[in-house]
Amino acid sequence: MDTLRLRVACGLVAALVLSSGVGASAQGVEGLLPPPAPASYRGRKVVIDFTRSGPQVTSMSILCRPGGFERREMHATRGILVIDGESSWQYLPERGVVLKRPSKGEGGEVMRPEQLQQALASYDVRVVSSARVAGRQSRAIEFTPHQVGSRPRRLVWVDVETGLILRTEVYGSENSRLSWLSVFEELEYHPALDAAAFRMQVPAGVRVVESGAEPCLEPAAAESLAGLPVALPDYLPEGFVRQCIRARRESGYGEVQVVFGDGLSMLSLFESTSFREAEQDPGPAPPVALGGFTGRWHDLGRVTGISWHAPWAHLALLGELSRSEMQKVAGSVRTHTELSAPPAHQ
Amino acid sequence: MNDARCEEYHELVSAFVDERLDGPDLLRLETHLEACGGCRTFERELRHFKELLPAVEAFRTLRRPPAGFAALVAARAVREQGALTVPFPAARARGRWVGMVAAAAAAALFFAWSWQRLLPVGSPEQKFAARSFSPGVEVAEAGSMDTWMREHAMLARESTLLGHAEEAEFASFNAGAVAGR
Repeated sequence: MDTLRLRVACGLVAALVLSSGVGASAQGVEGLLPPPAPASYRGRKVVIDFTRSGPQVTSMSILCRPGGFERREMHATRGILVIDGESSWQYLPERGVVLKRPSKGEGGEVMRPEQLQQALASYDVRVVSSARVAGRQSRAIEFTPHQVGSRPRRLVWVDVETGLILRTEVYGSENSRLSWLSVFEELEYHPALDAAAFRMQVPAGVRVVESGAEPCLEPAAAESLAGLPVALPDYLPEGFVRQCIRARRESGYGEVQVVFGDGLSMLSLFESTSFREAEQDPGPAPPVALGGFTGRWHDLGRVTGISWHAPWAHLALLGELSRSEMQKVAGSVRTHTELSAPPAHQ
Repeated sequence: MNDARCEEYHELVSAFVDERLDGPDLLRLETHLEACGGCRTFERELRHFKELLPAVEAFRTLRRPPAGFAALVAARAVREQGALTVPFPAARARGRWVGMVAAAAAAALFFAWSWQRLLPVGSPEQKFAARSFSPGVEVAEAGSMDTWMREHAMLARESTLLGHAEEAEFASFNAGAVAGR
């Protein structure tokens, strides 16, 4: 009997030692995350999207300077993104446009403690064995959703000195396969950067499509601005909270975007007064039952979409959730007024 | 790839490699292949990459690739097979093998892969800084799944959500036809 007790005690001690060594506690992970140390850098990144019919490989050059300055050049398509401290300029050569919008202070890719904090509500977070990435010492953090299969699992390698995200792996909700890889192949900190690199030079003949500032609104203000009732889901997966409602109205066209996030993944609910079908029809989209409506699935790579038409607006839900979760969220969408109304008498 | 006309034959070559081509199209392609060295090379490369695809699929099904594996494989593909790295919709429209070439190239290069050959960082920003200006402003576009996908990804990017920084670019380039090299 004593031998049995001894074995059990040894087993418990061993389990404690192992758990502290392999999977750090949530608090430990947060402590291990290096504080973001702004640094200018120049690098080249490789991105592989495994989700489409054929894996897509591309690479891009990235220049970044603290203060919200960034430049990305997609090598294959010649696309450019410039963030000049005030505005974000996205040049789409295949469409002959530059999309300009106020910068939200983005620039650089740094893992922030508050992201971790929010992610802890819906992910098991732990430090796993890591390796050098682009010559930099890294710390690998794994995010496994509490509800396995409901949303992607992610692995992130963070530079231990700067907090820069060096590598990201995303695994599919439905099949646990690697669906997305983004990694710095080359990276140089504190390079000599020409200030001109952070100014967008619009090529001749290219039109600039500008969006004004779109602040986050309350539902009533968004309804007033867009001219259509704001829709919200009655159901959200664990950890998702509403982050922002954006609205706009131009030339009779009204649009609302409601954004939800769990710290790592985002869900967008769009509604509009009109809807434009894709110019290049990819073929018949499979239908999906949404309570009293019938929607359509849209395969958008890592992101899945559902579009449908309700009496008050055209709607679409975009996110990385599993299809069953997407359908559940979309099926629970009601107008803000309906959701705010007191429950009917039982 | 000798001239612009070859572009229209690439879809036929892709179907030919897939053994999906017959009738007048087959005759037309065979006639062209006899005269065009570029398209014969293209056909040979497609057949070669097709043979390597099982390796790509094996890579895809890995639950956890070893650190550094995919990055270097893909990087080598991009660096050494630059012309094959446009697997976006316009490229796919020319035939499914064209769209899969980049990944197959990655697999091919994996076999010759070594850990030590990282190139120094270049300065490609210079060539873009020399482009000319033509400012002009128009109102934003109306909604569609394409534009909403881009909006979704851009907002995710602004939130610095993990792995979304590049998705905004992918979303944009997947939203319409893409100019090749």
